[in-house]
Amino acid sequence: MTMTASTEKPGRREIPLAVYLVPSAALLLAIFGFPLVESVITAFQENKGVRATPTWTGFANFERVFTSPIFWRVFAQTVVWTVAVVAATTIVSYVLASLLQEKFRGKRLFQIILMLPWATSIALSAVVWRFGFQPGGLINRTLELVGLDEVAWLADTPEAAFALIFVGVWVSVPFTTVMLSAGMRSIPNDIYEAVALETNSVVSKHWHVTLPMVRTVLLIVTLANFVLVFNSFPIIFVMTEGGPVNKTDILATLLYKQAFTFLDFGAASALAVVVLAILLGAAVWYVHTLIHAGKKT
Amino acid sequence: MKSLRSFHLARRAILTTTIAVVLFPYLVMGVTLFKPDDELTASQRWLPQSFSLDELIAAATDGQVWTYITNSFIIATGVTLVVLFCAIPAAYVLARHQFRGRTQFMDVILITQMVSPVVLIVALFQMFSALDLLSSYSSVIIASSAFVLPFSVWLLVGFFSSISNEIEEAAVLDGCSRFRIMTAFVVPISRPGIAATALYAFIYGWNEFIFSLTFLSGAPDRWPVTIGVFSNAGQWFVSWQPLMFMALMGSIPILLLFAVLQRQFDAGFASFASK
Repeated sequence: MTMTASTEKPGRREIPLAVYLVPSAALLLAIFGFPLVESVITAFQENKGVRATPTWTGFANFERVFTSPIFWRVFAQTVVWTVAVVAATTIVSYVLASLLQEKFRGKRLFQIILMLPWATSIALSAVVWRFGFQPGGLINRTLELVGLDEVAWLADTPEAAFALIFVGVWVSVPFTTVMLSAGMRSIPNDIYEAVALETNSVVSKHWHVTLPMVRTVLLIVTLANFVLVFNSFPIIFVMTEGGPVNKTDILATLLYKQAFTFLDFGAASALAVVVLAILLGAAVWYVHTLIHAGKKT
Repeated sequence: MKSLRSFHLARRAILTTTIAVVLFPYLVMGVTLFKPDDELTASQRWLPQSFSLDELIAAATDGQVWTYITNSFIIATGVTLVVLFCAIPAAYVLARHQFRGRTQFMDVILITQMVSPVVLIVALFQMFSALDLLSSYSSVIIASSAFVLPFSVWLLVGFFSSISNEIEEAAVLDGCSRFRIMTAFVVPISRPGIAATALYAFIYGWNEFIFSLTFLSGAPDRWPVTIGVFSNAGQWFVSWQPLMFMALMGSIPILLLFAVLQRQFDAGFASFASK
């Protein structure tokens, strides 16, 4: 650093460092900073879309949100959806990532195929899944081929919830597997060799070496998945639109419909503030108790 | 020996199941294209009973799908350019210079990852409406770019900080300015990293859904393929063959791009995961 400073000739024209940050800062301010403030303001207004004039209503929107039985039901559904998708994704990805640590024929092709769901638009794959889950669709056809009964997948819960969670996992596994696999690859081989002297069990190898070594990557990728899945919009909006009667809604789809179907921008913004508070709270708790605690020991 | 055999069997079973599940939607798209209408209403079979190319030809010669594809291309290219323009200089100074506020800037970037498009969608709609930018490509491009930026800056900081200091010091002795060091040394050396970032931005822009759905609802001639497929699937009577053709055309460019550049992408992810 001092090297750079001392060789800087006086009088040479340099663009100040801050200027390099201006485009990024402006973009973040316009798309995150300003709308965050705007959301909070709208949450305290009666606001019926862009053509109506907003009026101040204090905490009325929040009161309406918290006293509505739909909110609490959808909140519970959001928790179930998030926990189910993130947990299943983590388990499936962990197994796949550990299989990818070994050599086998066609491994490269397998890795490319595995990433396809990540590279495909969720909106497009969700439309195709919806078509597949239709009563006469190819999912039921495949179940019949292996001797199972037809299911009316998207007509009611819990079948619809199961179908959505399945697609949620299908979307989330690729990225999670790649991250975990990269984490596992960076574990030095001599640790495994040392453990191999004591035990031959696959389970204890994972429990004593792999799991502790990928802990940080695992925690970070789980946090990322938590945020993504909690807010996940296209899968549910495309496949069931939250129906039948809110039974598969999560807060994200409820918020969207509140704003753009019912044109109630005030209540939608109050919901947005609540969602944001939940996420920030959960993230701060998570980072403090899990990630930092692990680093200290 | 026996346990090794069963391990190999279990592994093969897991891998085969995974491939089948992963490929399912693509197989559905593939077979549906060739089915005549009457095979799509009742109980479907996997393989078309009477092979028909009519629906496929009708779908491909319908101009609408190519309008959607062009729009997706415009949006994805726009997002890529905006993100590179913003992220490269920011990542350059964050990776190679110390200054006051550097940590805070990185923190802000990390925190924005907690925010998702749906949380801000109402406020962004109000903002673009006030700026009279609804129904324009730029509203979708700008909003998407902001959500691509944080991860892109992180990726690029990783690549830029791995360049050795000697090159930069030699350039300084030669009288190069910071800006010239960035454009003439740092950027060319980090080409793989920039390619990975550009690919990430392009894929995000191509696959984007909620901003286009909301901001472009009044301008069907600017819809990208994601909205085209979604809106056609919501009709009372859906003709699935053209829809599947559209979905296939919407996924193939990205899948090809991804398969070709996968190695570079892997490197980007790996450097991110090992941090």
